[in-house]
Amino acid sequence: MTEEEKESAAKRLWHNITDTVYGMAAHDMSRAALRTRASMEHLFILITMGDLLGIPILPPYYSLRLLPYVVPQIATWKRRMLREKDVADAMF
Amino acid sequence: MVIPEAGVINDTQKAAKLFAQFDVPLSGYVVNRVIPHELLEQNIPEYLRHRIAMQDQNLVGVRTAFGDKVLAMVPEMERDVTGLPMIEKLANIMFA
Amino acid sequence: MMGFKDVFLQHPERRYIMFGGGGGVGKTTFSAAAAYWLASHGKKVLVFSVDPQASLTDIFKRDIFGKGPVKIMDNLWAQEIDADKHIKAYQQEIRQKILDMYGLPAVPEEIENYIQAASAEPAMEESAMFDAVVDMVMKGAYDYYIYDLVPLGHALYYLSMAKVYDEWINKVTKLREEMREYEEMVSRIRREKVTEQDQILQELLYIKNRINTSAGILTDK
Repeated sequence: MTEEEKESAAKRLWHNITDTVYGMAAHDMSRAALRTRASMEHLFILITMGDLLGIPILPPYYSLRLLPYVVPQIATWKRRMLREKDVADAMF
Repeated sequence: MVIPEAGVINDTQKAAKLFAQFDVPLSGYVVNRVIPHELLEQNIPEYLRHRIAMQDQNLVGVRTAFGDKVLAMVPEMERDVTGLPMIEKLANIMFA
Repeated sequence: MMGFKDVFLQHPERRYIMFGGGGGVGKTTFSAAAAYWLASHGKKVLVFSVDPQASLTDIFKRDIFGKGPVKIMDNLWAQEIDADKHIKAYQQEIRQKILDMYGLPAVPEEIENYIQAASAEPAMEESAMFDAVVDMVMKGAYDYYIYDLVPLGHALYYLSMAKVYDEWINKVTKLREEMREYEEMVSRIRREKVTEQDQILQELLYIKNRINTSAGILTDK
């Protein structure tokens, strides 16, 4: 290999590595982010629909304490529920 | 705590089992509202004699079920236990 | 036959004493009497009732409802928790927190409905009582805490739930720590989101602590 070829091969290798590492990081990041969102939703479900899913139900006194943190989710949930209802209505 | 009435013994045994399961320490049993036998020597109405007899029967059950874990047998008090003097009276009976 | 005295002498480590049994057997009365005896023997005792039907006020002939610990005599305090007042104050705290967190002028209707619905559940009064008891235990420095037992089912539910809740929150904590690692690598994450996550985690840990204390009271550990 010529000096030039070696250099571009090195560059390509370097780019491959950084792309992979960065890609991995981004991928893991979004995975973690997804899991965090999942845990937020988990929290939300825990508070509002615990008995439907058979997962630990917090005593009402304590689930009320967590309510402020899921206020935005409640709004989205309602909207989602309504949308599903519309779809169901449209279908039948 | 138990009173000498049928059904209570069963419920209490069930509760004791649950306590054991959940690691809640059980110190003992107290039998309350036992009508004193001294009354039998007085001129009391028939229904009261009958009640005492019923209690005696149930007490046999209590002793069989709970045996040496019975900490005290407390008589039916002639008055409501309210106010410190009555409370003191009950405490002395309990801890005799 | 062993007696009450013996039990107390043999088990000085048992400081949370409860009298359980069906309705009308005399739990509250006996709690009061046991408290009296221990207090008159030099122990610092708090007797309280978690039974909305029974009344320590009647038993001691003193008005103690919703007044915090009331001194009955040397070494003896009695308390009757006003669950309703407790819950109402608590609701206000939650409402205020929502207003503050989101900069809202008023609590949204569906949220308010949720607050009302949750508070109407029978389990709310019981869990409010439990929490008030945790407060008393954490604050006070009594030798003995004596009370009449809560509904058996609820008490046992608390015990089983405490364990499950522990495991769940450990998982959540792990998740949070993993997030923290990436936070250091990538600076894109908004600071506010992270703080809110931390806040939530704090709440969950606080709740875990309260529930475990409740369970500890029941198992006397």
